[in-house]
Amino acid sequence: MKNFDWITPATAKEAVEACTAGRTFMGGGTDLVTLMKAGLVEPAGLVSLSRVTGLDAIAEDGEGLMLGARVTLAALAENTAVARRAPAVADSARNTATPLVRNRATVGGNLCQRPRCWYFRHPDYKCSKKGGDTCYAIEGENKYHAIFENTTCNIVHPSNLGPAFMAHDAELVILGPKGERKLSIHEFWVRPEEDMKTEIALDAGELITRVDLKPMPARTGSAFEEVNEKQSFDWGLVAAAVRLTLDGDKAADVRIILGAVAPVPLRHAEAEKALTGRVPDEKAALAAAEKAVEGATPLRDNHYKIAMLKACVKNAILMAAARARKAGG
Amino acid sequence: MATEDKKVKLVLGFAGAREEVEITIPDEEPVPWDLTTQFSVVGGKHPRSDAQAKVTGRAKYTHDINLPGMLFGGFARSPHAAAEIVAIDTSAAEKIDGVKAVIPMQQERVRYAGQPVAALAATTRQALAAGIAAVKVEWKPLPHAARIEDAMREGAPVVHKNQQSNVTGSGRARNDERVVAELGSSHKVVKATARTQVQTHSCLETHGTVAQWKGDDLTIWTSTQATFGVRSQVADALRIDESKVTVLCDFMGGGFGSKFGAGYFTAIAARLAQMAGAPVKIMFDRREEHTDTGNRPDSIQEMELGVSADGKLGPYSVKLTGTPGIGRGAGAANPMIYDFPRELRAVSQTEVATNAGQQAAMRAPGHPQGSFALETILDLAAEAIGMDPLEFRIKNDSNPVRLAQYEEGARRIGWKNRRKNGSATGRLRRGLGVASGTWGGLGGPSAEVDCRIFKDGSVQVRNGSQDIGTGTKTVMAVVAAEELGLPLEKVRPFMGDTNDPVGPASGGSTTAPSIAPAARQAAYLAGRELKALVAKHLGVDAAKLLMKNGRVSTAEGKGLSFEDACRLISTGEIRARGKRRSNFKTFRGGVAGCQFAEVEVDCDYGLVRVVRIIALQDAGIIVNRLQAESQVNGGVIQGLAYALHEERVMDRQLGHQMNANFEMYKIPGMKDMPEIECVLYDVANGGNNTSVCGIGEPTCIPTASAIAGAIHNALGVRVLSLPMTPDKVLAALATKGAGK
Ligand SMILES: Cc1cc2nc3c(=O)[nH]c(=O)nc-3n(C[C@H](O)[C@H](O)[C@H](O)COP(=O)(O)OP(=O)(O)OC[C@H]3O[C@@H](n4cnc5c(N)ncnc54)[C@H](O)[C@@H]3O)c2cc1C
Repeated sequence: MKNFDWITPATAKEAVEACTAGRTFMGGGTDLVTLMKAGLVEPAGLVSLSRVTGLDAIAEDGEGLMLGARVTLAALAENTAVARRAPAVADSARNTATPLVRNRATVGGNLCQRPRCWYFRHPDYKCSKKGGDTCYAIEGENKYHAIFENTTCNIVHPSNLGPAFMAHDAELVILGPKGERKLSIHEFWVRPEEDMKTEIALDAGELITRVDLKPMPARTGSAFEEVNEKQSFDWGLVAAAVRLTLDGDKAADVRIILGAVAPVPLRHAEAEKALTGRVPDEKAALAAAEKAVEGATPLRDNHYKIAMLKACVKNAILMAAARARKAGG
Repeated sequence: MATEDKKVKLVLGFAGAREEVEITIPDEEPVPWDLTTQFSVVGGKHPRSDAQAKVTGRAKYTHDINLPGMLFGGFARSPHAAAEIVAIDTSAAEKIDGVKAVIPMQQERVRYAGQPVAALAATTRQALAAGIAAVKVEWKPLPHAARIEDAMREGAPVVHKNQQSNVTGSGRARNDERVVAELGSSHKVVKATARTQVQTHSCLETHGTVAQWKGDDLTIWTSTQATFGVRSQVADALRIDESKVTVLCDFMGGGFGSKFGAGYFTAIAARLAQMAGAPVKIMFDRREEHTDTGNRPDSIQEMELGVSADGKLGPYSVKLTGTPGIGRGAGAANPMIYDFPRELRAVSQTEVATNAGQQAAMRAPGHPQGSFALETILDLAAEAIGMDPLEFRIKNDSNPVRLAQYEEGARRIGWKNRRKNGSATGRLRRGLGVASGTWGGLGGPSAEVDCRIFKDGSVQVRNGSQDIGTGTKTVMAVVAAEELGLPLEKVRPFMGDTNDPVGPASGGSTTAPSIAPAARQAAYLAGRELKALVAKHLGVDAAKLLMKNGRVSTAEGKGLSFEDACRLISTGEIRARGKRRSNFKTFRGGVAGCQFAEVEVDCDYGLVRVVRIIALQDAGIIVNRLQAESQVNGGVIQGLAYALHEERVMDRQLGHQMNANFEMYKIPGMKDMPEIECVLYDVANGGNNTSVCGIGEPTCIPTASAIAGAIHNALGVRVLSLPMTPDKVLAALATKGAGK
């Protein structure tokens, strides 16, 4: 690891001002430090968000929930307002990694973390993401890689919060050198075909300060389901975030987002359509889940993800539906 | 000194089967403990003597040694799995600010990714990294085969220069023809090919050494399983006298077989220190630890077994294949344990060289992999003849201890409620499995222990080998406290300094059974000296004196407190040396164990949750129940990790290990833990004066097999390959669906 400056600004504005060329923001550091140790990034300075005021608040009002970018996953998982108003988000935070990681990891860092692809992370592989000319996962050891949208690059996006935020139409509040802007979470992700070097639509020096979640309509439920090989300290093999509103006993306004199966979290319109207007029971859930895995392009070692994802989507739908039934309104 | 032999009668065996034997022992040996011995300290639950030092961080591991002026040492390593070194130039590295010494490790070619090519020492880690980056190597990359499948292929690149093929082996098995013929006439024949993965030792404390010279004297702090082995190997490598080398290992963070030797890095650290005129510390990072310190070989085990209608094991043919990487030795212990007719076994063994770090002994070498295959074929055979798998085992196992364990284990796990294979339905399905293990672990010479009794009544026991976290130190203290009739706190144990008496390398679960008898004898001899003083002082017969409850007195109570007795010491201290002698002839077998597993499989996701493991194990006379249980827990946990998670993944393209870290090399955590019920059997084996037997290795043998059996029971299909990850479980479930 190279030497670097350590800067601890007190306000978001100062943080952005300090984050000039070669420097980068640090939330909990759980991803950034591993990237630095692997030599994948060599920032000249770290602008720590640890002392920035206002970034660690979870606020609630008629407009919805406002999550500071430095809120930890542990805080998200424990917060009752989050559990009530965005259950999928609480699920996703609760499922992530270990208590140790969750106590450090932040909302902003979770969205901006880099992929865990072992070729990308290995110093001796110059893959297309690192300016090389191939994706080693295509021929190589690809058990954990993508099964959708995976022709040029086979990373899966690791963020748990991503799909959950998508289920709740989150809006990111971003402060940059040119001022503040808002960006829908749906517009946040960048596919390898658009830009191989990044996964997210943040410009250099831009800071996420907040994530806003609109209030859920009545009789709405959401859920996040993830499958891990082991239950402590592991990455998702597949994940699904689902939200639906009950219209009578039928599902309406359905969102189905797939995680850990493509270079970006995937919102699946076809699967959503398959569920819309149907009673979200086991059969309908399975039908939608089947739609969700249609057209998968698995690699040699990850065919299993199809069956697993199907079950995962089904279970997430059933959980969201159960919560919708319980929800007031 | 009287050296007459004495005849003693012992009651050996265990609660389920006792036998009386008479043996002759030398006069300076205490009478061996047996089933009639009344213990006051032995067999209790004692926290380890260094528990507090460990949990408070006061315990200093090699990692924690930081000397004034110390340099950081490390290695430039090969980025290629196979390559010729056309030229190596370290001149630029030598010029880097802070780099103090560079040693090119002359090699014409490298045979695995991560092989070291040059060693450096520098004032800071940053300077070291810069120095490593500045080592210029001109490579001529060669074709490679880093995975066993690739290396076995026709026309595969050959790993060893002098070999025609990567595949070498015993060829045809003895008894082959006869076994083939007998298989033809068996009632039922079952066939299966089981596979196990490469497992790395994954020691929490990585390999490493700190080397410091003072004049001609060399001190080595190292994380090792063999302090004395390191001393002689380092002296040999540096061509200096052993008398000039001191090896220290106060605390040690896991070895599992991989820290049996000095490792190339230890002599290198000493050389770098010599060149730079400053102490040098080399500690491997996690990637180096995974790729360059050894591993448990993988295995492909092709089996054919004939069984009789009444469930007797018949002809058995096994073809074993495994890769030792660039090293040698990749056998699996198969068959073992059960009563296979000796002349009807045909075992052949093949080794496949690969471009990967070499294998090293790992916790019960060969056994977990052998067990997984063996217990698989047993379960399949039981299923084929419609017999309960436990009943089938009982029919084919004559070990009296294990027969008792089967009964007890079955009772505890609720075996009688076990359902037929595959009869569970729904998303979550439960199943039960059973498997066995065997091991030796009786120990032997040479081990010596000093027992020192001071005038103030305090006591030390000292041995120069290492406590690798298994609790040997505490075992020494318990044994000595028992012998001297003292509470455990009165005896302070010391290990990990080669200036103390010699001891064994920690391998084969032999450390405690080698050292404990020496510790007991040392305490016995020291106690005898103390008794002589008391006898003289009080005018009683020394032979009538007992050491019990902190007193040295006759059965009638005439005597002194231990403290008062010690005031009679005029020479400063009593110091006696105990020596481990060869095992007595009455020794009965090794250790026996078996484990029962209950699992719950989530059929939506192919996820296996181990609900419960009942681990039944004997280990001679149990010295410290708490530590013995801790060894069992550790074995079960490592076995569970082997069953479900751990696997070295080598890339077929460039030949690197893709998961040389703890993120993708998966070690289970708290939430993955089952309830572990540990049932210990005290067996007086009579092999030595304490009947202590090793327990470190045997407990990791049957776990994966029992879990596999339980999955089989839950699903009605066998997962034939480790680790049994969701992808494989889902695939197995899919074949079942297809068959219906
Ligand atoms: C064993 C393990 C398992 C894990 N499993 C999961 C999992 O299943 N699902 C999952 O989602 N995650 C998982 N994680 C990852 C973990 O959630 C992330 O590492 C964490 O969320 C990153 O947050 P951080 O605050 O530590 O980010 P940092 O490491 O501090 O930063 C990561 C990146 O985000 C940038 N950044 C941080 N904050 C901001 C901000 N406010 N604005 C702009 N840029 C910012 C940094 O510059 C950096 O590039 C796992 C981690 C481990 C170690």
